[in-house]
Amino acid sequence: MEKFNKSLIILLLLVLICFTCEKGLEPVEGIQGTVIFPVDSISGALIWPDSLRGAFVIIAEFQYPLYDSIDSLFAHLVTYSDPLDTLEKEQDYFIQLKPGYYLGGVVGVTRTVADLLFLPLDSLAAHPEYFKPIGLYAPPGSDFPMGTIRVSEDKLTEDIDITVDYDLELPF
Amino acid sequence: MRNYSQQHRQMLLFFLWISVPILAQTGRIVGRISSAVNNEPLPGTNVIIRGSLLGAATDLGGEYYIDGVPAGAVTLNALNIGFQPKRKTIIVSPGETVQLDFQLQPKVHKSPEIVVTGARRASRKMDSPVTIATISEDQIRLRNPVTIADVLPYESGVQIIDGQLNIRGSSGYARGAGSRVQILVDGFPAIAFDNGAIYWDAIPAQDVERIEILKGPGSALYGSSAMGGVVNIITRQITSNRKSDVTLGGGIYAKPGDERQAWTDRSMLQEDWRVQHEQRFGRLGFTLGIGQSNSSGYRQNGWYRRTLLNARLEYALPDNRSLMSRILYIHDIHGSFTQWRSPIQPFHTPPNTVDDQVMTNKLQWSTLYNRIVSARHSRQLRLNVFRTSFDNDMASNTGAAMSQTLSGEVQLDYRPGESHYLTAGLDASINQVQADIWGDHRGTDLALFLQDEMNVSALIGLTGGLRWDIHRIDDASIQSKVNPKFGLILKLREQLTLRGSLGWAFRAPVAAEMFIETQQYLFRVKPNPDLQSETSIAGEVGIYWQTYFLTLDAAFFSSHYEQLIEPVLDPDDQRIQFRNITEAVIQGAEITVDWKWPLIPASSRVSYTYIDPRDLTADDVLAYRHPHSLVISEQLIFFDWLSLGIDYRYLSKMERVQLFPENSRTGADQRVPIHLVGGFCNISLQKSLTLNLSVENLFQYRYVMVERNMGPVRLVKLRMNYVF
Repeated sequence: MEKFNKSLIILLLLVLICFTCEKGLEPVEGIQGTVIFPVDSISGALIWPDSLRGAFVIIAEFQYPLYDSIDSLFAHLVTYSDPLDTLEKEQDYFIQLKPGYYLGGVVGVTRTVADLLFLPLDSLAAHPEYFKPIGLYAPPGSDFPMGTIRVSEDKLTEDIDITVDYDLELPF
Repeated sequence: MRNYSQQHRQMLLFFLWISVPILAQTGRIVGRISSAVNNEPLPGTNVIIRGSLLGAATDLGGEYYIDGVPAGAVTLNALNIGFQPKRKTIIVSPGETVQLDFQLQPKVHKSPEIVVTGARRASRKMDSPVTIATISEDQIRLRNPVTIADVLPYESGVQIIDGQLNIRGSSGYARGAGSRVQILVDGFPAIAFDNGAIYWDAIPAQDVERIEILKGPGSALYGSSAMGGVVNIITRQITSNRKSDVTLGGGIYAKPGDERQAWTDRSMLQEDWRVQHEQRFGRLGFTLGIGQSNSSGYRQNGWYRRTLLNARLEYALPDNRSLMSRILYIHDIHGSFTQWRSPIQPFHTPPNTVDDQVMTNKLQWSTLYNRIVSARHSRQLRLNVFRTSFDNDMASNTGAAMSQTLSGEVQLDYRPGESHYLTAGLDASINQVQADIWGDHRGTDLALFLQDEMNVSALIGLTGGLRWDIHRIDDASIQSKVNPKFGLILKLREQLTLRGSLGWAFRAPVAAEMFIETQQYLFRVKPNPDLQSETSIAGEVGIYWQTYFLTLDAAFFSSHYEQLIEPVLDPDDQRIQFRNITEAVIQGAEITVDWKWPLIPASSRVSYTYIDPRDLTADDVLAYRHPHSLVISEQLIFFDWLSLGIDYRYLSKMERVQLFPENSRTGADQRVPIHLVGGFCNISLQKSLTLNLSVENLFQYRYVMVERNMGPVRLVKLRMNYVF
């Protein structure tokens, strides 16, 4: 009887351990990079136009041929990042994405960032006037101002760095 | 004139009834209670005079005394868990002291467990019409908690989500505000008036003797905050003539498995110390203690520094009167972590919040005057001062608040018959808050309660109760609510009962829910001064069966809520606001089985709770509830000095969260089922030195309970306690 009890306890402990083989939240797929804001060439101070009150990284679906307007790009938004810190010259960001192909950029916002934080994507797309594109992702050395971002399965795509240009001219 | 005289006479009689000692001639009983096996004293044994409210508990030497015993033949019952109860009858002569000793035999059957929360008086747990769970001192000590919040989730159906206490799905998540579970410390409320939050660090885990959890609406006895249940934390009384103890503890958090997630190169440590002394001079006893605990936390800004001072005074007055006064003061500074920087840096706080911190102070001064007037009549007077303050020093918020509550309560217990108990009382409180984030407000509460418990036969016990609450905040109109309750117990056998209950409950909104206007990190909250009280009707049926080897407690329960107060995101301005939005139903079932293994020194516990939380207004599930929860615990005891144990907790995936729900376009979803394993090893050396080694989240399971807040990593703790 005693042996039986001990065996049963050991069995219970083994069951417990099996239950816990899972590790929970796994590292996620997505993109990581740095947003680089312009600084004054003399003072080194961060330049931030008065008309903008914050900035986000935005991700849109890749499509070919490319979008022909900012409105059509906003209509295919996939997600946007948490607000970027407006006091840092260089700021790291991360966005979780499913495997696939995307386009990325930075938009300045004309409203308080907290006003937009929980807005669903279709609401954002309905108000492109709140946003001013100030940066597009392009691979280093590329002649074209906009590059494709590839996210692979179980992999973090790094170095998706975006340089902010307040006078950005869109390629469409 | 005649009416006036009659009224005057009635008032005089009433006054005499409550204030003049019974003049009947009485005697005194003294004695010693020991084990029949080795004659060792049995401290903590309850000695109760049958058919009365008179009784006492033995001290460390196994000795007791009872004053004011009515002259004549009296029967005493001696009860100690682990020993068979014994009954003796003696003759007490007026003015004399009678010696009556007991020797108790070790039990063959387990004695019934006694609780005080279900009926506001000591009664058998199995006779409660509502589920009451208990956590013993051993269960608390072995798990070596930093705060009581670390041990409560080992009880079935009890969850704590980032500090917010939730029993059987009654609460969601509102950053701790507006608790639907009343927290009592020795029967004194310990919820802040302004935000209705529980300050877990204000309850010293090392002083706790027992925790009782009432898993159903408690408003009919405990008022507003007890809508979803009651947790009564009972602290240790002064039992020895002189005792000092020193506790030293330390712990280390594991580094995250992925090195890129580490927010610091240093070791993440936790340490604490405490010194306490208690002494008794005749009828007077006191305890004084001081302690400090510090931690780096397992995540950036998870640090804290706490200092705790406590004092307790007990005075046994003549004529079965006693006085207890307790003061607790906690000063705390801690970092503030609102959300992670990103899923790949889950232990980092966003860059602009790394200096965010909060300073808090908590003071509770509680006084209890207890008087057993006669064998059938006792009364209690409680006074409680509870003061809390915080001062935010954050990039987004520099708000501060100070809240204080002065409350008083009179409770009368009367026993008109052998198995008939009446409990009545008056409860009043004056509350005040000064805050720059929810303004300056005053609140007043007044309540009358009455409860009648009766065994109508050997088989059937009935309970009826009613509480009338009046609540007012500032100059708003008075809110009044009457909450009745009914209970039925069927005692099928000595150790087998069926129970059923139906209770009404309410919760008045707290100042923070009505008037808050603030921003923390990116989250903005706006006021709603029109918020109304939320109400519920809840019922349960259950079974309790206890044998020496097995205890089974099972229940089906259902609660229907109206005007439920929940935080809601206003789509028009992206601000969070507390609103009466929901009609909701939470139904479920729960089963807990404890058993001792025959022939080997081991015990096991399995408890499982299922809830179905439905938002009837939105035809959706209620957010922040886990439908399934399971706890499995194993404990082995060797040689009386070594205990080993392991705990496993499972919470199924939350079906809905509010702020950051899953995103099908990106795959972002932080909700996972939760599997947590912990263990402990306790070594007692020469009864004066105890070492405890414990581990939490042994397998480094990664989970969140609130979006963007990673749960704690593995923590290994060592604690030493020396008593001299």
